[in-house]
Amino acid sequence: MLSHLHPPGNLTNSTDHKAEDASKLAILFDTVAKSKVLFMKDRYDDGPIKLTHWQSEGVEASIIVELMKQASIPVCMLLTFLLSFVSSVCKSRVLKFWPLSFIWSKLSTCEQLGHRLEHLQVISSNRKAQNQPQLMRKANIFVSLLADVALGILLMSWLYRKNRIGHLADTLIPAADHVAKELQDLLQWLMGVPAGLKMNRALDQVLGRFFLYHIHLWISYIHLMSPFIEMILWYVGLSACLGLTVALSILSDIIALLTFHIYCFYVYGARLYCLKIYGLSSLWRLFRGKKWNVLRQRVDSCSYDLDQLFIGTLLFTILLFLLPTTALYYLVFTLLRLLVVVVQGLIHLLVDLIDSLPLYSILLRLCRSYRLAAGVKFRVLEQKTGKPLRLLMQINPLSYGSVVQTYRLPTYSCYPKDSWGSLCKKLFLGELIYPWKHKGEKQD
Amino acid sequence: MEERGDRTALQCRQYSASCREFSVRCQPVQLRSLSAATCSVWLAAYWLFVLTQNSMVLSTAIFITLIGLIVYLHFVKIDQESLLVIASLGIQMTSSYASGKENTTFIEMSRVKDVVINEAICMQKVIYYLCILLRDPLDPQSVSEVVPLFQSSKPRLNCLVEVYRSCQEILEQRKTVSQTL
Repeated sequence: MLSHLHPPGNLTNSTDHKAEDASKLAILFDTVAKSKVLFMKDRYDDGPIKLTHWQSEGVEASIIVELMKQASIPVCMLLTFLLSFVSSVCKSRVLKFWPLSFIWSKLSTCEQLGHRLEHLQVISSNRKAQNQPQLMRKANIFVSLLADVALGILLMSWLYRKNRIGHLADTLIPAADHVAKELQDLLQWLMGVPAGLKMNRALDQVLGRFFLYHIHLWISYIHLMSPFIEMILWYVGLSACLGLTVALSILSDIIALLTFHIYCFYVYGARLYCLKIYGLSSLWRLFRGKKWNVLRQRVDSCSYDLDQLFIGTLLFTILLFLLPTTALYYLVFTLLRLLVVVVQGLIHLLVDLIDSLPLYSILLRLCRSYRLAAGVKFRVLEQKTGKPLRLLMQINPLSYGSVVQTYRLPTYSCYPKDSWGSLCKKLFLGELIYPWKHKGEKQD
Repeated sequence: MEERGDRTALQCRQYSASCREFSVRCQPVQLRSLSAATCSVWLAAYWLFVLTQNSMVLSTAIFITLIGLIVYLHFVKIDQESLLVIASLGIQMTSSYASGKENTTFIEMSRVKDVVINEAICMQKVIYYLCILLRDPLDPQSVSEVVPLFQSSKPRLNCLVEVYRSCQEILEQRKTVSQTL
């Protein structure tokens, strides 16, 4: 079929009621769309780009296309063999041991590479596409991959010219040092009198010194790695030839690795705060003479002994007066962690966009708009008195928004797991937040 | 009760006994609003230039004005909306933008149940709009969708009544045709 009609209703209805309800216009359209002679015309009036049909250019173009069609079969077979080899290596038992499998699941580069591997498998399969949506999907994946690899090679050539990657590696260590110094200044500020608030001196000093020591360890580790950074970065930069999406995923992983200490601080602060909040709520119940009944999952009244009440009230007071200090540390580190999460989220959004954009369909809509039809449109031609009505019927092409929506490629996209309300509740209680949920992950 | 709104013009053309076209023209782009928008953007840009002494601000302002004008003319400002009713085929709605772009939607006659004027209460105003009622394929008596017409030009009640009367005459014809067959 040379032109495909996209009916405006939702597709679930059309499969049930196709037999009885196919509108007359759709039947007419299907019949006309199968006639090749009608579509062989050279001139296409609609659209900003006027192109002629490639077969009218000459015999040479037809020969090249036929040769490519013949050559694609052995190429597909070779590609399938290579891909099966690569996927068998990936699935081998060696890489499934616990530390390695945990690392692979956390790195977004591995997910992106797996995704692209799936795409390559779809393209290189030997079965011909059964119907229009499958054909469009294959074409979209192919063009999208080509564009991705082209952009990646462009990026690589820009990075390796004038040794920009060497400069990047040189500025990486001073940047990490700068971040660590800023964190140390922040902790000194928290240990003093932050924003005019009066902290508990002893707890403040303990927490501040603990985090400062942690930063000191981190800086020593970075300086230990510094001779190898340039070489590692040089080889990692070569993988940008696999595609721009892979390069962006690597960037996101590098950011995650460099800000690992911020993640650690967030976890320490959150756990401490969470413990404090639970302790406070439980002792508050004791203060009022109530208890949490685990069996019935509700609050029951309970009679305590005098010494239980005394110690409980004492602990409650201590925890309450230490709350502002812990809360402030928790707040500062949560904000830093959220900043890093937002930056990573933006990079993932960009990767998602490049992954799912149906480039082939958009180009088709631009150059050969008659292939994707939303319907037909009529124009009344000049009338002659006494003669019947004369109308011109043309193909009404699909709008760009509908093209993108219909032919979007599915991705492993991350989308927010919690609504705003539950996110705020988790933040308030001190539970650890993992804001992005991947499609393949199990619900916990 | 008073009626408010811009000036609109309705044009009816009858091509044959069963085919009519109604076009409503909206108010064209006014020179004074265009100059007001341009002057305000450039005054703001010049003030920023005086503050920062950076000539990039001025070129950015020119760029923004041009791009904004093109986007407005091509995507926002609707010049004319027309309705073509053909008794045996269907109803076609066309909106043409100020830059010449045309958006067309065609609805087959088998999907059309009726054309009515609806009354809506919008904040403190009562507005009237013409709409097409679409038939539900599962249940021929019920309405599955309501398609409002003339959304950007928003003609007033007297225009709508004219269009409504003509549409009903044509829809009567399709009933008589289907009854005689």
